[in-house]
Amino acid sequence: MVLYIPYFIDVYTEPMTALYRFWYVAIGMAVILSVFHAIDSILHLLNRRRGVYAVVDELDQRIQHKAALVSGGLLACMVMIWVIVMMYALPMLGDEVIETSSDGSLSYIAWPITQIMHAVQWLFASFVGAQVLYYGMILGQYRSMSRE
Amino acid sequence: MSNANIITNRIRQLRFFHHEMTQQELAERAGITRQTVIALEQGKYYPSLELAFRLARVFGVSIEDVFQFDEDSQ
Repeated sequence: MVLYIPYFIDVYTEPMTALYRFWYVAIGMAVILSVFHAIDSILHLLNRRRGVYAVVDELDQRIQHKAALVSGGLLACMVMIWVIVMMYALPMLGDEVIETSSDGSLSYIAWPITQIMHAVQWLFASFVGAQVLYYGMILGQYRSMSRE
Repeated sequence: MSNANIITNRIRQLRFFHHEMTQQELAERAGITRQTVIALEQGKYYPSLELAFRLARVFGVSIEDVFQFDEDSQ
């Protein structure tokens, strides 16, 4: 959250100046997730070798399932909004983005780079938001369970 | 939750009557985590039928001695 909120504020206010940062942040996120899951797997393996098995019971499964359902729903909604916007954006923008050849047929689409970046960032933000919601919900549910 | 407190349980009392069995001990014997035992005792989580049977079996009683369905509070 500390990393991504300032990033997305920057990206949506100045899409072009933040262009190069997209790759750093996207790669950074892939690295963070990979390292997190790698450490988690190694610790599980080491514990199993020592005969310690982490019990995952039905409450854990229910909490994870609920978090996956809600975050998956959010991701699906965001992607659906993206698809709908894409579907209607071309006709609405009209001549600004669609250029026709001399014979009147559609020749190519001249889409402004800032709008492309906004579209890409929207998808990236959807993924980040879904991840944050997933882990946040798991944490929140355990906290509410442990509260008296 | 609309069905809050409709299903109550006597896990805390049953633990007490079984030589003050600890939450951890009950969790280990029922194959669940201590976190789940806490949630059950606080009425924040309704277990599956399978887990309800397992808990009853740990205490050596019937399922209705552990869980009660209060129809009047519906």
